[in-house]
Amino acid sequence: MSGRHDDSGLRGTVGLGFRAALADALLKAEAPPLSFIEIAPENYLGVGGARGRHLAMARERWPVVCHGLCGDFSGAAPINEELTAALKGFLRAHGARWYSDHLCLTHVDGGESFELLPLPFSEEAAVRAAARVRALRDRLELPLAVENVSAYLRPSPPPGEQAMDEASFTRRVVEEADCGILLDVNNAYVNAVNFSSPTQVHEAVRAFIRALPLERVVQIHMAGHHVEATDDGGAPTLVVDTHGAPMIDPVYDLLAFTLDEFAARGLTPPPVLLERDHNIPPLGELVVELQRLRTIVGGAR
Amino acid sequence: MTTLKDVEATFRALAIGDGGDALVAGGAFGAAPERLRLYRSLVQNTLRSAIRRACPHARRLGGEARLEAHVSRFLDTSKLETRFVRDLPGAFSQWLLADAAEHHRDGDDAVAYAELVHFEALEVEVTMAETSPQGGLSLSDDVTLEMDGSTRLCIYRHPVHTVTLQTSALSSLAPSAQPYVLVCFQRAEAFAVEPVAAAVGKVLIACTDGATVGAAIKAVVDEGIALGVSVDVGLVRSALVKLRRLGAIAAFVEPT
Repeated sequence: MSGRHDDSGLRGTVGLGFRAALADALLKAEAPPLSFIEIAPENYLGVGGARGRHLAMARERWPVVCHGLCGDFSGAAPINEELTAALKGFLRAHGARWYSDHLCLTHVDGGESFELLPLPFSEEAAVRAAARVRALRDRLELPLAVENVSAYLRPSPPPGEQAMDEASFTRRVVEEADCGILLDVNNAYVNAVNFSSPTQVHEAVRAFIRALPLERVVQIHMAGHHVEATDDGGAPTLVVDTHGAPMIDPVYDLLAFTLDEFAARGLTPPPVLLERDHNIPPLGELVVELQRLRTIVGGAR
Repeated sequence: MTTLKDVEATFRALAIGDGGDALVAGGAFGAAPERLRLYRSLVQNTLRSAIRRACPHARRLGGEARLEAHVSRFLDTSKLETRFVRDLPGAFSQWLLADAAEHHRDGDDAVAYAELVHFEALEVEVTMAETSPQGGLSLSDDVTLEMDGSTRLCIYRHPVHTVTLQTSALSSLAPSAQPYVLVCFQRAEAFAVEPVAAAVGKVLIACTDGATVGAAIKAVVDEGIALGVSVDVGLVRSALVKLRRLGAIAAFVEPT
């Protein structure tokens, strides 16, 4: 099974994360400006009732992209075969052309954390993640993509081993696994704030994006975040990836930069998704954000 | 920090277990305290809010501090195997029932409280369950039962299914000599509860194990004779028909 992705005509389009709290308004809206929806299978696998009905209705209107929450790439727990088989059936039923999850730990020391915990950028983590991606791909019989996650601390690699930077680590994993990348621009911004000096944030994001093998990017995520701490001058020094606030101008600018990089490499823009999981506003406010994304993506095509 | 195994163990202790404060003070991962506390806060908020949301009556009647204390012990002593946040209230309620059975003393309300938490968590499970296609309507001794995918049979000592916003104290949930047998299921996407007689509950359990209705009823009648208790077979059949009509039983399945 190749790691490359047939994106089923979604390149250059904009979508929205489908959330239970948004479902009713979205399904009642006549023509919201989105070309696809994204769901987390963990929230819908084996689910009926109103939530299941909403998803069935949404599937009739939009293509569905599936993005997991508990892939636990690099985790030590064995692959849950029963869950993976159920996931495979779910992905097939929803016409998934690829499946993405996060490049992180979620299952820790025998228990689920339900949080995206950062990996050390070590050789051990890269090798294990690549093996895990290949193993899941074989079971799901679908191309896989891994997402760069936001982080608030960085575990060190073993003594004597030089830590890779995030772009090198990501490249190491995806080339070893021959898989795709789900590039979260907001996460790149969050990490740049959290691990760079305030004056170097934008250059750090640009350097990260430039260093990625963009030809492997199958989808882009965009979201808002929460500023947890600032320096004396008001510049953020710790931001949290909450998906609970509107996107900010610098992150829109970084999307435009990212799409320029695609164009410079002769690549078509991948599908761009707006994620909003908390403090969900009236749909009209999200529509404004979707339209702004469409303008940026349209300008890059 | 060394291997991935060490990273996992440290995150587990930092974010879920009761060793978080020591790891923050010790500067685990070489990180600043606020960043370590952030991970603990993110994980704890996800786990606790999923459980809190599911138990509004237990929080109101037992108090927030009581629920928080139980959740803390649950998180300290259990490894969360489910990958689904929606299963957390159910996992917690099962743990709490077992804990109450082991540790309660006569006269305290630990079992009533645990049963209330279980019943509230069940509502989450049932309303999110997949329902089954509805089938045969004709009841006879030869049919087997196909329960709806959302249906759960519960047995409680306390009338937790009667709790409303008007219920003011756990002490009002007096234990009953006869257990409350409840058929809980999804109806029109909402949580539905049908109290049934103990004999009906036994028939449902036998039929869930594959017995025909006739064989299940005969077994219950025979057991009643042995115990000197009469079983109203007509009432049992009426209850089955009603459960079928309500959708808790998806089908009376004719033998092939």
